[in-house]
Amino acid sequence: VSETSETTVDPRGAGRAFDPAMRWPAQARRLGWLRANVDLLSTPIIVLLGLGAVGLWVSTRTLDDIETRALQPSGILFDLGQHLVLTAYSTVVVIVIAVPLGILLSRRAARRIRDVVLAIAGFAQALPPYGVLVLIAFAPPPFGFNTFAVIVGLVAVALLPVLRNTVVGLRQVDPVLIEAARGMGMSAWTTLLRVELPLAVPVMVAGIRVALVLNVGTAVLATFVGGGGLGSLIVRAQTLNRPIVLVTAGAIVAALALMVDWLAGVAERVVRVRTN
Amino acid sequence: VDLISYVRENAGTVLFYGEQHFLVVLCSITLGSAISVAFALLLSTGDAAPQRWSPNWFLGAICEGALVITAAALTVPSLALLVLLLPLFGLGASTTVTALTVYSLYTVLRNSVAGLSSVDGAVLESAKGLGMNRLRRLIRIQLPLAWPVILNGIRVATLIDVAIAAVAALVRGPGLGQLVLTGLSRYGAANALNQVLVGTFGCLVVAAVFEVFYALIERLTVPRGIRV
Repeated sequence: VSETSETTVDPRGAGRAFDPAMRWPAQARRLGWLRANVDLLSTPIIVLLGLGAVGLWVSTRTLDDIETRALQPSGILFDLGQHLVLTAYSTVVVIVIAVPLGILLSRRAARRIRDVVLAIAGFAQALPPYGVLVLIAFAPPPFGFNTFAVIVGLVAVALLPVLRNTVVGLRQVDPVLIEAARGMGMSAWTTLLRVELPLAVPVMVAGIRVALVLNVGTAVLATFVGGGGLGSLIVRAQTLNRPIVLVTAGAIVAALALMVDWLAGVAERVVRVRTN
Repeated sequence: VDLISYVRENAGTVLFYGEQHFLVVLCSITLGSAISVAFALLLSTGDAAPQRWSPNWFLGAICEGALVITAAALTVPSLALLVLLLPLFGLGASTTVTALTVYSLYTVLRNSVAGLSSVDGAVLESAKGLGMNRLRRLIRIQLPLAWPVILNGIRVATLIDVAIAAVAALVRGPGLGQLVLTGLSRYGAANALNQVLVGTFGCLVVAAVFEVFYALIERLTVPRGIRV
């Protein structure tokens, strides 16, 4: 039992290739939690190394007036705040729409539509978020170059991937369990509420993670349609044409995306362990 | 001017940008796939051990490390990666190709690893029994059997790259993103909307061309015995 739960904890987790747990079960139990989660350390290490290197570079150089002003913490924090607000709003909206829709689509009755939606969602990956944001900003009011249009754009970009993830995840719930629940006399509705949905909670958390990562990434482009966010920092850096500002801006954005993904990944891990 | 007559009147320009878009993605995907597949092949031992990536834990660790790092790279927003590469490669195509190559690595590598390690151990064992050495087993047996999975990874990576390539216009990269950029800067002017529309949905056309291209490659390269 412990062996299967070990391997299902993380499909691409560390230690799959070489498994000492088979040889030293007692030590493995003690180290099990640590070993199963050691891969969670990689992202913070990458981020710390990256930010540390950039910070070191910045600190060893004397910044001129323009560079100092561009890298003012207050300005960066303002952009960061806007960025997080955009990401939070759009993620909530995406989840509220995509998860119920995903549950509906994973029903047996929706078999035909499901395949069509999945095919479209797969191909729609090629639709550039940049173009979608600009198109929605070009639409007549209430759209335009405002925050509302940006959030609608972010939702439009993230909706199909999250929907796809939810449907695929829900389909992975073991049909034997559903059959067993039905055999115990549960109605289809009760089965959904008491068996399928609790088992699908990890899938939904994974969906939130996908939505968060996509939205953090797309929100960088919000500045081109009047939405602000950390993209403004990058644009300012590009206009100034100072490598040091440019690299700092890029590193901050990259670090934010990686850390958001990491936090969501930790949440995903916790939920998955609880459900197991 | 409506969209159809815009496309008709500017067919040359639109085709030019579409072609650029196709070529820049093709270059990056070729580079990224070559790196990923070569990496996976190098780390694969061709040993008859199912469910096991490599009997050598060191190679296994390198492989897991590569997957973690390329997955992290895929998480980095495209504009951030592009400006991080700017000081190294400057404005234009080289930055674009480098970024797109980086973005294609994870998907292809993951599928290559999954494909190569999912080859049945019994098959490899019998190849060994036939007297094939490690290299021949890898090239003649493991790679052809894993090829459909690898090709699917390349296909998905292409879709991702086609979308990301549009952002590259912001660092003067080639492709349909230029049309979106021009349209945006000409907001309110004649044809601004048409330019953005063509720039955005043109990417879907480029992706469709790639799909046909891959269908053809699959037809030509997947061994007949394992075709679905």
